[in-house]
Amino acid sequence: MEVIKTYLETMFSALPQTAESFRFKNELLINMEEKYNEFKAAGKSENEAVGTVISEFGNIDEIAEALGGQTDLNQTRNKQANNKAEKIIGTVASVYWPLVVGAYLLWSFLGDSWDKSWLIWPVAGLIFGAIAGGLGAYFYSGNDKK
Amino acid sequence: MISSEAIRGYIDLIILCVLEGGESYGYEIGKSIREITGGEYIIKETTLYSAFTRMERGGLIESYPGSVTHGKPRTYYRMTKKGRGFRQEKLEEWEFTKKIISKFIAKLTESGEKSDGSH
Repeated sequence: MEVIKTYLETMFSALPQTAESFRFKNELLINMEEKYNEFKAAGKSENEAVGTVISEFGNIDEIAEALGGQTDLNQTRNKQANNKAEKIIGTVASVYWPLVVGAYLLWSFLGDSWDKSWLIWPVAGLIFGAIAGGLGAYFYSGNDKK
Repeated sequence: MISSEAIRGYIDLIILCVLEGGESYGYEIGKSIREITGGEYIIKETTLYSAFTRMERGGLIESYPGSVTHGKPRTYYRMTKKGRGFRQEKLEEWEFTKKIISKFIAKLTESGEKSDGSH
């Protein structure tokens, strides 16, 4: 029976540790124990009984689906938000940076101020970081409809 | 042993049919399924218990605590009125599916090919 308990613990460790998954696990344990006892009573050896019970366990994904339908949905939403955000940010970047380079060169040549124009880089970097962060937050919250 | 794909749509029906015979609990329901099919379908624990969760959420069955095993109450299930209605629907769907598929088997037999031929 210890082997069965350990097996169950291992399977459930892959799932989020919620009260519901805990109840599920206990329910399954009670069931598997009764099965094990019946096999033993029917004459199966310890190994046979344990082996059969475990082989009839099934796939932990089914439990994950039944329990965390919400979680899977959130993960899909997050992935979608990330992809969208990445695409938009990529497009913005492909416009933004050439502009910055252009501005840097113009400023440096026309103003002959190479000693100062380097500032454009950290400033542009910070601004871009803010834009990207803002876009990311927008797409995340925009998709996070309840 | 039947493939999980083939049986997937009918797990709920199977469980409801077992409950038709009376209220029962997890282990016993699984055992009934094995016995009724003469061992040809041994339902997996995960399939059975995720079905219970799904069906209870859908209002097809309801659970209540029953007699105690090893200090923990067994969870018993019974079919609800909605469950009865769903069972009826599924039975009709099954009859209809059988009818349709049979037409194709008949057609194959007609044209002289083996009815269990595959391409």
